Amino acid sequence: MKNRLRVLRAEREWSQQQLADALGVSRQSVNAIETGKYDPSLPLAFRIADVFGLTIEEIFLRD
Amino acid sequence: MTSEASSFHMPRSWLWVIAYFAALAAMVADANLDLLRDPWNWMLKALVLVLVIPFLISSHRRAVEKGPPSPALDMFNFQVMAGVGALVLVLAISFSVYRALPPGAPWLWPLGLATAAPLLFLIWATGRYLIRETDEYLRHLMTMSALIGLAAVLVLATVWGSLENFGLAPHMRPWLLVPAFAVAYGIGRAWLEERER
Repeated sequence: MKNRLRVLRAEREWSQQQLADALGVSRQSVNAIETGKYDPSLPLAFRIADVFGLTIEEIFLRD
Repeated sequence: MTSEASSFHMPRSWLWVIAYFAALAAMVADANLDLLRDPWNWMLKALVLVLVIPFLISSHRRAVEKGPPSPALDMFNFQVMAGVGALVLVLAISFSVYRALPPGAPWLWPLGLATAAPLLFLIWATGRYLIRETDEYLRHLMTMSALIGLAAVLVLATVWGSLENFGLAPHMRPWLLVPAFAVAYGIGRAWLEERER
């Protein structure tokens, strides 16, 4: 699954660690999601959407 | 899913971990098959003890490189270090005592169980970590690494067992699968983490 996490994070000038802290996960997790190596669960996807103030569909895209 | 092609590159810190487990496996095999004579078998035990130091340092460095570890991972790493340290000590002591005791001595029972105790502790610690870890990706990494280790052990046991049935391979003690699992788990974990880059 593709996502716009890296772009959204860059727009806000957040580091991976800052986003990880906001989500309550490790920096490794943020990196794995950003690079598409790991698709988050629905609860984590909702947390990501909440942090950016967007809907899940605006962040995660179909292949 | 991205389609970036990535070539596998083993991080240097993992080489210490693999070297440690390889030396541990050699020590276990020697204790089982009596391959080495004095003083080489004692030098092998000393090597395992010495390799604990770079093993601990490289594990700590890896954790720091990836940012602050989760509290559950911190605790798990500590438990693994304690378990591995206890395993080395118990193996070194118990096999020395075993050789000094007559066959069938009653003390062999607690000695045998004591040898298994650190491994049982490590299995418990792994299960406990999976329960305590709130970071789903770290849980996923642990699960996948353990599955790689399990797959390797099943393949090894199946192939070796088949060869043994036909008299083509010597008998292998079942507990040797534990260090085999540890090595396969380590390689699997290194591969999974390398894919992240």
